[in-house]
Amino acid sequence: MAKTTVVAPAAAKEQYLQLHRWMCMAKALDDRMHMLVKQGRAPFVGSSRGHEGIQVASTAALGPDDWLVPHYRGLANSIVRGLTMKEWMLAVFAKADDPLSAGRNIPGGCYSYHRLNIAPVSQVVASWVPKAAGIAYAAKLQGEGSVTLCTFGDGATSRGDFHEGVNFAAVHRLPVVFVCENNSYAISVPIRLQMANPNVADRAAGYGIAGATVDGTDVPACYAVCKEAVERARRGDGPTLIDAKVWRMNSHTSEDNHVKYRGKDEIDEAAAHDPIARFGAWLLERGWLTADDLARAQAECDAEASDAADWAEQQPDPIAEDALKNVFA
Amino acid sequence: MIEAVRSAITEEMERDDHVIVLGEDVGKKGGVFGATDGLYARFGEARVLDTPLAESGIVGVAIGAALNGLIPIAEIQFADFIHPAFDQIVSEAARTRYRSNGDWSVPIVIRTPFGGGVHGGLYHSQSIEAFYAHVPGLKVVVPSMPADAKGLLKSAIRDPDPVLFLEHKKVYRLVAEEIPDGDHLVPIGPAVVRRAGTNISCFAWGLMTHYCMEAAEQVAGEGISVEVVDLRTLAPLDRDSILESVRKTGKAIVVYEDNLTGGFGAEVSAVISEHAFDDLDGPVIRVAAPDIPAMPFNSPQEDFFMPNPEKIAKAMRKLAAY
Repeated sequence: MAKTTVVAPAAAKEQYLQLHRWMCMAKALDDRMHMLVKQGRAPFVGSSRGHEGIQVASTAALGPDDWLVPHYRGLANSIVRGLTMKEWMLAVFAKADDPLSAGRNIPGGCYSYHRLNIAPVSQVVASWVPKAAGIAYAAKLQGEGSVTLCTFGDGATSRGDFHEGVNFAAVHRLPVVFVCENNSYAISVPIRLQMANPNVADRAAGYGIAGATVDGTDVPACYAVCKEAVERARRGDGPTLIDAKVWRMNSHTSEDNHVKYRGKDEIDEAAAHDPIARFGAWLLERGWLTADDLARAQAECDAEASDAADWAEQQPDPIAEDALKNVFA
Repeated sequence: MIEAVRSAITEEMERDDHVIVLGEDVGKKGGVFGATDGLYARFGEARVLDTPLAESGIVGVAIGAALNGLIPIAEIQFADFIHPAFDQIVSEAARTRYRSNGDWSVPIVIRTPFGGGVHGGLYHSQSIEAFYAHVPGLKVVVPSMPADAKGLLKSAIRDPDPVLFLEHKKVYRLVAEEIPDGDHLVPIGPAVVRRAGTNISCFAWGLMTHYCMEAAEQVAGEGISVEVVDLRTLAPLDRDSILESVRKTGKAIVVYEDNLTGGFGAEVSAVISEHAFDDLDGPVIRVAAPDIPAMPFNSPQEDFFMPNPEKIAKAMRKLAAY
């Protein structure tokens, strides 16, 4: 696993503060969604808590013309690409103007955003891995120079589509960065029942591509690994398979209760691996933010998320008959 | 018909350099039936791409390439092998426009040889159209004639939505037909009347169109006038042409090579029963294969499985007498 301390040049300060802000935005939306579900105002939440570190680091390593092919827990990825809190909340309330699926899918369950180069993915886990390879193949053929970031959980790595997609990208040395956000659970199935070797990046050797394992709660380490992978892809040296170890802090979704299969001790342990708290401490240590700054950053994001939710809730619902639209061109 | 397919692909690749071909053995070998023969030499490896043996990956990669501006023609070597890609076709290709509310489209063509009567055995004989014609967001095209194959394939390549293009293996070399020169396009959707008649309407697609024509000829001498309608496109289905023919003849037979239960002919039959009930002078008859898991290799059982002109003519006589 990569070392947790990466020497950051002073010039990177603004960038790291921006990463922190994005993480706070994701947490604010996540926390607000949980409140909305408890209040009976929103139907569902699939939490990203615990995954924000690798999500912002991997996505921030991309350029504006690059592609994101995210998994359904990828809220922070989308925020980095430019998704606003209001837009996300339109999806949470399944409103007509929701830019992610026009209220057609459960919030965050599968979405896309053409304007932000966020490719359309579904909830069939790993189905988007060959798609990422195809996007990158087209980029290479057309001489675009773009890089495709493809994210998924450890559960996805058991599916055939994972193999078929990674293998295709490897054969053609395509500009793809595969990031496994490895929280060691496929809903309730622990990693020991998913794979004999828990280190997904070890499979990279089998595909003949680069692999890297990183502590996914360590933002500077994640950023360094992802930046290197993006550069490798950009210069034509092929894909990288990154295994980012994270802790899922909440249940799989609001429909799940992880106490049943994880136990209290493990859940407490997960809470101690909050990447936002860890990154905040790292910034504090460098004197880049004070404790007050940290608290204010989160409070501002929380207020914005609350306002976004209240606003989105009042927006028009989809029209029933519009269900018939956009089957074909 | 194989030349028609090859010529359609070649012309479209010349017309638009976004068009690519990918699949197993489509490169130097030119496909197991020769559909892409010569394309590798002409357009190069990047646009005529031999893929790993992985059908879901082939379709998934094609979808991704389409999202990023290409127009991929994915070949699944035999329709029997398309099922691993079922999810990519149904949950992804056919649903992307819908679930993004028109933000994205997936302009891909999936070509695949299908059908039996060629001693293909259990895994080189299947008819798969019913699984896919059920899926909104996916167009399903089944040409029976070379000129149609060319014109429909060119339309499919230019279509902004995913198209499943089924080519009957026996028809590849069964029929010769003059193919119109120039940019010959046949629109996706409309059925065509292959033979006009007044007593019975007979609906079919692919190889069965030819068998219906033979059967119609057999019974013509007995005073039974059969109209043969080649559906050509199963999704979207040309309901108007079906109903127009039935309203004229008052009797209908649907012929398909798939096994009977839940085959696409059941949908055609339902359309007729629902919308032309008052015009019917007899039950809507389905001539199809028996409900067994797949088409056997040995000749007696393959013949037993396949509808043929004699079985169809028998059904025509029975319905005519009703």
